[in-house]
Amino acid sequence: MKNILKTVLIFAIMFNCTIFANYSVYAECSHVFGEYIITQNAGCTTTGSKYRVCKKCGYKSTVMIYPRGHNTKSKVVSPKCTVKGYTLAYCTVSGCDYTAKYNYTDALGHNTKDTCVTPPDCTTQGKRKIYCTRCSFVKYVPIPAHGHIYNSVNENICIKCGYKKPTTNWSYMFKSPYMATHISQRFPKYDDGTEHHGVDIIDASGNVDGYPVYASYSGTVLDSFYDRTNGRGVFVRIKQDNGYVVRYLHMKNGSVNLVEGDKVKAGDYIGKVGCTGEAYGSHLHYDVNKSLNSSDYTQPLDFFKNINFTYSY
Amino acid sequence: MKKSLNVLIITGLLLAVSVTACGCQSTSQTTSNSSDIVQSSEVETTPSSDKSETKLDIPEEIMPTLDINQNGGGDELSAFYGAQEISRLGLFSIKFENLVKESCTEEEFQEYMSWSEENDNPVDNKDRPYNINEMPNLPNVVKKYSLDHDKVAEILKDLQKYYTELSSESENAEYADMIYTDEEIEAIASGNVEKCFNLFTYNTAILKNDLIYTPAYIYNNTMNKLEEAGITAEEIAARTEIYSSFSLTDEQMTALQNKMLKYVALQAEKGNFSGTYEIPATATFSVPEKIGNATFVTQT
Ligand SMILES: [Zn+2]
Ligand SMILES: [Zn+2]
Ligand SMILES: [Zn+2]
Ligand SMILES: [Zn+2]
Ligand SMILES: [Zn+2]
Repeated sequence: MKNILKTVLIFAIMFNCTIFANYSVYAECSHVFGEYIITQNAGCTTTGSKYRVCKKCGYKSTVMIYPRGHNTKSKVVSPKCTVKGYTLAYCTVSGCDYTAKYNYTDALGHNTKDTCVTPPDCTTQGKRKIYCTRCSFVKYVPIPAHGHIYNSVNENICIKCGYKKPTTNWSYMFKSPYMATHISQRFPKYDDGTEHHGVDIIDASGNVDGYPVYASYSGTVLDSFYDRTNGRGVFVRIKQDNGYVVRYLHMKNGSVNLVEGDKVKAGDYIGKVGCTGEAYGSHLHYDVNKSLNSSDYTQPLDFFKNINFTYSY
Repeated sequence: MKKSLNVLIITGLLLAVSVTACGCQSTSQTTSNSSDIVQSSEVETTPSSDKSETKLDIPEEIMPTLDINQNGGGDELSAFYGAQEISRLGLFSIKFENLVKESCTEEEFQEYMSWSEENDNPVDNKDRPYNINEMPNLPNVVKKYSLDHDKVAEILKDLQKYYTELSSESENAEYADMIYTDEEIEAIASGNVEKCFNLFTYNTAILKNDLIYTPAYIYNNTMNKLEEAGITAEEIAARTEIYSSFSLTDEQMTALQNKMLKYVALQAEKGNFSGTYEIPATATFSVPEKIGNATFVTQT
């Protein structure tokens, strides 16, 4: 018991000596403090400090000053064409960069006006200028060439530019050779830039294998073969009554029964779409030769102006 | 070691030349100096090959792939992929097809249909030569299904007459190309495959025994393969101009022309070519003007 007391005492003395050693001198002074002296002002979010000194014993008492907090004001920033509006809170204390955004409002979007800068003509595209009345936004959009304008299907001269259709004595339109209208390979060049005698027609949304193929014009069958060495596959060549010689290639094996000399009318069944010969996927290769006398292929789509074809490239 | 020596010697020569060139001589003398360089570097290569093998470095040409047109294809490159000279041996008219149908069993006819559909794309000839006995053509179908000689001859005679008339009406050479000769009709009708194919002159494709090598095959196969096939430098040289007319992309055409040039140069080096080879202007590989007894001139 005595021992325990002894230890406590020793500890108490040690404690006193180490921690309160400095104060022990002032212990019995009833301090009389002077004014606080600020050593560090408090900021909006940072603490400051001040101290005062006892006039009697010189004891220095240091005190922390709490942060003052921001002195906020707010203002409304209105939205712009492409930027949202918001309420901006900020602090008025100089040197404090505190801001906060809230109460967002949607961007206005451009207030556009549309003007025609260059009108299109028959063969060259025009230009439209779209601009914003509020900001510096400007966009130019091409206007497609409107194509030649004829008074009627049988007319040969464009009323706009005087362009003469390269044909004279035949009715303008061909009948569609089949139900599909997507051009996977164009005339006169494939997508790789090499020569292509006609157009390859598929259906953008499905397999055309077995689709019936029709004569695009009345005429006489020149010949029909299954070409097994030179890539044409099952093909029919028809000399149309308007002078053009058209070919239908890669048709289905066994689907063609027409032979040389057979007469056809526009829309007559010829055979079925297939992928015989040099073909990758079923498609109809359709080409138009200007006459029996030449190997002069021409743009087949010129004869189908009433069909809206879509294109792979 | 040898290489660095060469470099040293060449640098030395260049230095010597530049020193003389600095001597403000007339232009004609400067040109003669620059030709000196060429000669000296030639001299430089000769001693390194005393053992009679002036080996030129002819690397295999890297050929751009022959892209197939997705959802397309046609007959534009039939002369490149196919064998255009035998075109009419691959034309099966409806009447001929009907004759096959009536001359064999249903099973045989189905087999015939799928066999011919599997082998009707000439683009495949870029990987394998066209085998006249195995690929569907008129004479071998006559032989395979023992078609009646007279019936076949009649169908072909009709076509002969038809195209003779048509070609007199039309200036388009395509129709004249479809006229079978009497000799051809006889060879086809009797199913004599070899005789039939030998009736044609091959200016574009190359016939070797029973195999036809197409331009696409030449494009797509290594010089070693061409050599194995027995294709000669003469045969390549005779076709360079025709091959230049194919509608290939610029890169493909340059590669094809380089390949033909390299093959002829390689053969010239082996002593297998002694003529004059006209290098197409768009070929980019270069060879010395003389290799063995052969001369190489660039077209202008
Ligand atoms: Zn005090
Ligand atoms: Zn603040
Ligand atoms: Zn705007
Ligand atoms: Zn017009
Ligand atoms: Zn096509």
